[in-house]
Amino acid sequence: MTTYLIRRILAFIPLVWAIATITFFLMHAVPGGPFDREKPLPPQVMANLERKYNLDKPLVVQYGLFLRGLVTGDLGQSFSQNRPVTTIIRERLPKSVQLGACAFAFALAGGLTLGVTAAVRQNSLIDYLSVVLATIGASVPNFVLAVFLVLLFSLQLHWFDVLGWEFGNYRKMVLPIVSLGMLPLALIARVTRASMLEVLHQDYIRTARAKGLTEFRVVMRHAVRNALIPVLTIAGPILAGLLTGSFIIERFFAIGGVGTAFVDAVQLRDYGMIMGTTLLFAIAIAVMNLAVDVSYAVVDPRIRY
Amino acid sequence: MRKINWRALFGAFAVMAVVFAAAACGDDEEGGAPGGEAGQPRQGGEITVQYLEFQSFDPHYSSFAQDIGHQTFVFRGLYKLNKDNQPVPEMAADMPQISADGKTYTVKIKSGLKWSDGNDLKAEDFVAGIERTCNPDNAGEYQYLLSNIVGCDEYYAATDKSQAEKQALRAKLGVRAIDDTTIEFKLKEPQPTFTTILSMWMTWPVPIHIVPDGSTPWPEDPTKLAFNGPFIVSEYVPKERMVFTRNPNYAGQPAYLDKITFRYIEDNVQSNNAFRAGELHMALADATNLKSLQQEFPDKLLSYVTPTTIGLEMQLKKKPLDNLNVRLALSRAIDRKALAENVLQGSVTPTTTWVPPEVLGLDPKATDIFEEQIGFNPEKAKEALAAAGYPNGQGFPTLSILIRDSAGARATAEFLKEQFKSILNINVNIEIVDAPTRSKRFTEGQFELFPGGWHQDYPDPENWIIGLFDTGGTLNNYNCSDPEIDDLIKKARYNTNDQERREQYKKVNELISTRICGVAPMYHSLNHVLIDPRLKGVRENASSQDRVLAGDWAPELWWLSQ
Repeated sequence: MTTYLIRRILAFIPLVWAIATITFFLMHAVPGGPFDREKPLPPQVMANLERKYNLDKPLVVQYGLFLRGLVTGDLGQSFSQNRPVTTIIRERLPKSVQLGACAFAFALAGGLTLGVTAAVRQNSLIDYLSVVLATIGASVPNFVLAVFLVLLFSLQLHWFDVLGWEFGNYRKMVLPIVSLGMLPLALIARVTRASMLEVLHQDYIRTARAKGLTEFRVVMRHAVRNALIPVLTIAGPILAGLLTGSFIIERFFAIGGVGTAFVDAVQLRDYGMIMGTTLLFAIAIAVMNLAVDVSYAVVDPRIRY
Repeated sequence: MRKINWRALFGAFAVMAVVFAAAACGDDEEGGAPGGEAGQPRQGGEITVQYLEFQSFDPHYSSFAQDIGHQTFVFRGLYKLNKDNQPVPEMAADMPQISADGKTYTVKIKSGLKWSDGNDLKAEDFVAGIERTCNPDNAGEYQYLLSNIVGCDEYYAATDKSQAEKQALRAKLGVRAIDDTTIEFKLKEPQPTFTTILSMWMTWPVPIHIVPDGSTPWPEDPTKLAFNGPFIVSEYVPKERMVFTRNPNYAGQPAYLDKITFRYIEDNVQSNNAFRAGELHMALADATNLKSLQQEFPDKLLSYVTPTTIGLEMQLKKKPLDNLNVRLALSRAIDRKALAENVLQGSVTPTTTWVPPEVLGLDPKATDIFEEQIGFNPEKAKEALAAAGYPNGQGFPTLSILIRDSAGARATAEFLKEQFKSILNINVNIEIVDAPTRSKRFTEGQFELFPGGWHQDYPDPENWIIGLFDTGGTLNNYNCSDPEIDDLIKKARYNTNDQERREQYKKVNELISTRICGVAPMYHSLNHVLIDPRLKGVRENASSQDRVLAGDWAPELWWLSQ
């Protein structure tokens, strides 16, 4: 296992380099630069800005400077905010991680409960309700859900605040968590239900029941654990996506996370921020995929590395 | 298998739909007029308002409205513009002494000025502000407004020179502190608007005890700075909020409010919800939902003209747009009223003048002064096209209209396309790109038709004309080149006879607008703001100097009535 882990972690290096290189040349190939504004700047101003940020140098030199910075952990300067990219990410990431982790916990708890209950009570009202809920959760975009939740729970019932995120303050936590977590909840519920239905028809479940075990023990001990593999497969990328922020939810609830940073950076051609957020997402997904692979071995004793 | 009770399920959704609709309609429990109710200003109170986060807090680098809006709360210059857009002393003790040739300005600052941290605010702090803007390494985006200061252009152009050469050029700058309270400016030419320029952000002082020279970076954390404006920055949480509290060392009229919190919200739909929920005292109205907001908040919604003109810009180097009759035909085929009312939902006001009338000293409502020459007139549009050699659009090439990807831009472009087809029988392609690509294409002159315009930096007609319409002007991307316009700009630019100068610019505006020298004016933008009725000093101070919110050029005048 240790060798496997070291090998996988070492594989991150060429992965990060490849993603960084492709992103670097792609973003410079897109027309328009960071200082092409709606209100144009005079040529001398443009020249000084480009020099200030090394954009006057040949692209290969800029790439070399970027790589040198990357090795030392310096992602350069944000053109739009005139501050180091690492500082900006460090400021904004914790909020995205808090919100993403809470939304993931909500999605996992809700999705597993709903999926397991629906499978155990197949074709009952609760099964139909869970399918309806999962379908709504999967098909209603989160910005529509967020608007609906705010109108109902903030403006009509005054239960929660309209804006912001504050860890520990339920008035500022519930709506962003539900808005962000509903889609993954629906996905997890659907996968769990399908996986559970398959497992519940296996011979060893029949054997467990024949041995006289209670239905609760059969489901929780024998069925759920075996049904978790497909859920784990989707949970890794879901968690990576949630922890690195959501552009729509963060923008809607005015949460200063890292989710809005990438879209803003692309729109502003903020090269430093594009690279910083792209690498952050890439590393998050790679780490989560590794975590999923490792967790297979924990859940299924037959899997060995 | 159990049967689903569809009726019960449908009923549940129906109830949710009703709740949703009721919530969407909302109610307006508070009445009263917003902002400027008569009454005695009250000291104290705290408010929270929507704002857009700054990109840079450095006034000698900034160019964005929200950046300058922030800085106006905490920094002030030698002069400020009053409600009538006239420069009045702010940190200066009096109006400047101007030499007989109009090229030397001497300004005395008030005695005993202090930064918010208690350090003395001296003449050299103001000199450092000018030096910082002219410094090529700082790359201040508004340096060009200081071009007339001796040596500023030369210093700013020293991009590739050594530090020693830059130092030498800095020493030759036409600004110096004669003593702790006296500053002298040397100009290349007499400039009638120079006192106005000295009210602007790129001339504001530098706390040199914190930022000693141009090579020292501006502090990343604004709370680490010292301030000379009505407020200080007490707290800053990136992407979330900034808290301002009253500056006890401010040399002007002390602010009424104890505390103002900027809540950074980019989505106006949500800021309007927060306003409904009472979480904000002021918010930018969602312009896409304006008609509904007008009904919901008849007394809280303030709409007023901003100093922005948007027109259909035309590349004069491309045929057939070099032909005046073609440009006239296109301009006369635009029903500006329908565009403003139907397409843009009343969020703008139609116009036929490039320079807004109030900047020219005219009645602000006189936006139709060139209606006869370039306004909507299908018959005259067809005649002009025929006179250009394209009767009923025959033989007219397909033009391209370059827009950025936004709902408003798409709607405007579709409207123009339909108008040109139905009235002139000509075809227009709509080319949609993202904002930086569009801007790049514009600055390179790679466009044919381009809906765009200008937002005023300072309230003087020269700001609407110089560099924009003179032959070879740095921002003249549509290639307007008209000897009569050039000659008038030359005469007006350094004309110290203010009345004559303004008449000359009025004539330039007439030539630009009626000859469509690069742009057919279409509308002036409006600002739409929701204001809590308890918040005063906002509505009555809403002006062309506003950056983001109504009256944000003078937040020291805001107060709470209860």
